[in-house]
Amino acid sequence: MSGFDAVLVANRGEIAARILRSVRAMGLRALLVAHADDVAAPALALADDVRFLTGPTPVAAFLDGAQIIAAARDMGAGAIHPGYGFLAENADFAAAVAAAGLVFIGPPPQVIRLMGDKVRARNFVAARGFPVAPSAIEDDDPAGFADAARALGPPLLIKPSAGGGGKGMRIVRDLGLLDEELARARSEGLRYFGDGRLFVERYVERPRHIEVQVLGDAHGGVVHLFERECSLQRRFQKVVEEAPSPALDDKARARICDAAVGIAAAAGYQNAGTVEFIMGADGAFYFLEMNTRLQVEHPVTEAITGRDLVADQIRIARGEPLGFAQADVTRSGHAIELRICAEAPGRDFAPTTGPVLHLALPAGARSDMGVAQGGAVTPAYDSLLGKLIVHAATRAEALAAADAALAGLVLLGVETNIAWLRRLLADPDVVAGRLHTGLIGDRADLLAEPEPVARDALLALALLHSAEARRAADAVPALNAAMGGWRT
Amino acid sequence: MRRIETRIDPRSADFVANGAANRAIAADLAERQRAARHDRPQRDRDRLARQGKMFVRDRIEALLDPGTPFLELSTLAANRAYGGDVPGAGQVSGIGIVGGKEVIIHADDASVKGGAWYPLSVKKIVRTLDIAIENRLPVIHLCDSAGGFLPLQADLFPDRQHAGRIFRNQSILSKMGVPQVALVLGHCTAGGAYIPALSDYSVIVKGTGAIFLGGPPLVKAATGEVVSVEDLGGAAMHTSVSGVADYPAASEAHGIAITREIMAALSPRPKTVIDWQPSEPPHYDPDELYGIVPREHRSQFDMREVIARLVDGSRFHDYQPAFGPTLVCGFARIHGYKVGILANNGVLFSDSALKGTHFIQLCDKDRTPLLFLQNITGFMVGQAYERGGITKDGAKMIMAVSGASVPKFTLNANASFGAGTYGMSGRAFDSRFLFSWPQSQVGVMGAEQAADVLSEVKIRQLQREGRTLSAEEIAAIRDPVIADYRDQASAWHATSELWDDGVLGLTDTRNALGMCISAALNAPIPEPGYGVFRM
Amino acid sequence: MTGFVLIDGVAHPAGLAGNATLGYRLADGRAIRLEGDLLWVGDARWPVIVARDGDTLWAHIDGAAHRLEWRDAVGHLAEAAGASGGDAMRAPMPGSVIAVNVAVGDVVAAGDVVLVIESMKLETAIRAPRAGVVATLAYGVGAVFDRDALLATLEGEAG
Repeated sequence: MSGFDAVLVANRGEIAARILRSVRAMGLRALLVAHADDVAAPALALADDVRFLTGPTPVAAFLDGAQIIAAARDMGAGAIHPGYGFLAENADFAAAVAAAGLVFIGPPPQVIRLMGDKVRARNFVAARGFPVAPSAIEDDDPAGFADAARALGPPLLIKPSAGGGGKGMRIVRDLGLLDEELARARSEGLRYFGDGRLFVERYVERPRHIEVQVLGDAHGGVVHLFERECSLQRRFQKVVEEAPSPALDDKARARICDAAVGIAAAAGYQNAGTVEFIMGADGAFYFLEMNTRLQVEHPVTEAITGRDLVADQIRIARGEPLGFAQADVTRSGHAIELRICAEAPGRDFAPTTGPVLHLALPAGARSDMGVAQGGAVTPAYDSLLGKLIVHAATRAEALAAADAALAGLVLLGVETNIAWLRRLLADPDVVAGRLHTGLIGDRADLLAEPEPVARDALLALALLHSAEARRAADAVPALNAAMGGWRT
Repeated sequence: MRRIETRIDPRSADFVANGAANRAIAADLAERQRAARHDRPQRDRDRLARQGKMFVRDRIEALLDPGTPFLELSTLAANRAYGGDVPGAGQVSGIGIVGGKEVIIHADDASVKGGAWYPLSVKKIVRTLDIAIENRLPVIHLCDSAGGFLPLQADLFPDRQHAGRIFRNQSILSKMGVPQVALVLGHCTAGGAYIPALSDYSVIVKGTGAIFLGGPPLVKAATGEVVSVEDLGGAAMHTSVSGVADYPAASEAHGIAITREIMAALSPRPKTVIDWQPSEPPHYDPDELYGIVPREHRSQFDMREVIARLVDGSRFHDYQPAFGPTLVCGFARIHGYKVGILANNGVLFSDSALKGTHFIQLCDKDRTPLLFLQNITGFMVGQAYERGGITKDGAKMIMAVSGASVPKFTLNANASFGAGTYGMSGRAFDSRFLFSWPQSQVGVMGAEQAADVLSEVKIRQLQREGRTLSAEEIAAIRDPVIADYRDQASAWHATSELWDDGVLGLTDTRNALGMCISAALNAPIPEPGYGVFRM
Repeated sequence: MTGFVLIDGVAHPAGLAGNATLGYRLADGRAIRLEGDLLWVGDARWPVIVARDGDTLWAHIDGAAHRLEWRDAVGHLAEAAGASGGDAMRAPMPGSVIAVNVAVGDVVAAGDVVLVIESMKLETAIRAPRAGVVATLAYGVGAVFDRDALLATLEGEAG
């Protein structure tokens, strides 16, 4: 199909850097669009050429498809990799890229459109015999929607029809709050997806989130790369992901992976995608959605399978066949990814900002970072700063490696979730692999920063650095200072 | 200066027995201090908690600079008065560092009878302010007192050294340019109201602090006016309307912080410069003092062994080592400060009195503070000594002690009796500070002598009545007299009556003296000048 | 105690003892000193990485980063005593205002949404901490603010 030798990355942060690395490794020209307030980002150093985007806000600039396509043509790009978020699941953008004579590194627009409409996707999957959860859909009956939702009975989960990534999702346990929450979810849906339509599902209590990585080529080949478990979430957003899932034995794994391949194949899926399921305590699983893009957490799959998913995406986009069969996909060991976020767990995960005064990466882990020392975290983007990925022979060893990596990651100047992640990984349920998406919400006791073991050392450090404290100490007559806290 | 060569044998039976006895006394002292500082009726503790007030000791700890010493004075004041119900005389007094400045703290202890002033409370406050005047030490008043204890008002109100003296001393301090800060943490009623009013700076805590000449009940009785504490004399009124207080504080901790900031903001004042060298600890372990001080009062011991465990490097320049040997005189350093030490190694004779007189004048000319280490039963008596003029030689020593311009410090290390007390700068001679060791005794004469004199009178009377007394009968008369006299002469009694500035543990003495010398140097040393020495 | 050290926002009373000549100490007497990247506290040795951002000190120690801020005692205690009022609505995070639901003078009940803010693509409702009358509104729609900015205040009907 279409050969290309220059790839434009239409994204920022850690994923831009990560994609550029594979682009360069494949000997292709690495091109980047960026926003002027992000010049210290590590991706810029990896790009052969950069064009700066403008817009009313930095996010708006990255959502400006026409500007990006113009930049791509201007720079001589043959393909655009959208990363995740922004325009990654925008079918119109994918179509516009193609119309501009460029390759969109992702599935065809109609697949994006199908899976991007959560309601259609759900109906598509259900019609082909794959399991879905009970739900009420606004499109089916706008007037009776709220009543239909109410009739499902609590707890309910509100989702924007056009959503993804947890944005605009809300759990409703008190039906009295349903109307208010529907209004807020609609507002967020409009703001982020330009689409206020909603649907409501019965919320499965204490579910696990298990997703399957699939790859499809343009020649009808579809394989899975095993599952990832992403049950550790806050605000419906994943923070710790691992592969394989500790909840699955080989038989259950085969069932869920086969279902994913079946759904992808039915949709005519091409490129990398992820089929997400929720799994109840009884082991029954339901289709949640399909993400038609590279996932944040793809590195855990890369770690256990030894594949470079971005390289696979590029090869598929060039029209090459997969070149391997399902039986060729093997896995080894256990991988865990930790999302390093600029947020304050103790303040309900409120985002934080600040300069990156010092950044040192830990040994023994893959670090996909979106910030560099000297840069700054601003409120312009979401709070993901980067990821650490560890891989070890067993889950226990991987947990130990994850803790060591978190302890060794030095990031000063911005409050982060690093210390909380260490506490989370030490939680007995997490250690035992007894995960569910409400676990973090249940463990409010982990949120507050405990008094640090090094409290006195920290006080000492602060005191030594305080000119006021030093002046006060130096003002004490020498004789009395030498006696210390002597009492009769 | 040469190191003193010790002659003690730590393995001797005497040393071991002394050690056991003195450590038991030290434990007794520690327990008495602990009880005086912390044992309070639960209802008083509860009342403070209800009022949201800090315990006075916590207030002081919060007030002091971190990691700095506090020399508490007269901890055991009133320990033998008022049935033991007024520990510390309801007051905490001491020298510490606040905002980098040496200060003396006067704090009402509201956990003792609501901080009411008993006669000994007034004595302790007046003494605290006398120390401030003599040493020009800034004062921090932590005010939380219910006022004078009415049933005993005759013993605390009218006389020269009674409550009025507190306010007179405050005024004199201000006149001398010695700053005072009052932190009002409770009600300052009637006379108490003048403490913040006479302070250069005053801080008052919202809600609990109040200042008024008459409280709401008295106002109602006098004029019929009904008014709340806050409106009559609360923090808001006084800091925004009357100007009686300067700073409103949102909490006790906030008030303490403001007080600390005021002290830190004061300009440091130059201290009197005397000979000083970097300090070194004593060469000999001060713990050995326990084995050196005799368990039997009348046993003699070499005061040089005590000096060796108090002074820098155990170094001592022995003045006139061969003359008047019952009074050891010489130079040493304590925490780097040079001092002239006079220490008793026996009864004072003419030669030792003359030696002491001369040495005091040397120190005075040399601007060297004087340290008196008392273990004195008195001047020698007898015809030969009277003919030799022991009285005029003793008078010379008293003249020198009284007239010396340099700061004097006195430690009753074991005994302080009779005219020896005068010659060795007893309480009447205005030593800047006077401390007692816990086993020490003070009185007009030794217990045995006194008992002999007292029982002799009784025995003679009985003999006149024609009775012959057996040894047992004489002992039955004499022993209670001795016990009673010893009790009166004990350090516990002396300190209860504020005849000293506190009982010091043996091993605390060096630091206490260091702090006192340093504090004393806030005042200038006048030019030397004396009265007439009878030649 | 000469001041407070906020460790990750939590206040600890603290004061420095010793002096430049003797070496500094904690109030309990333990000597403290920095030797390059090593911090000594008594006999304990802590490797540290330190970075300064204005008055804020950041330190990585014992496998965790901490934010350290020095507060003078008078200011901190005055603030601590005044913080219990409940009249103020402050920004829990930096961001911008996307909706203002009330006007100055409006009567609100506890829990009413006063304004909606957005930060890092996340909407948060700022609710009235108590019943009262809206006294001030500092920001209009679209306005950008920092964390802890005073967004709105209430008066009257103190709950």
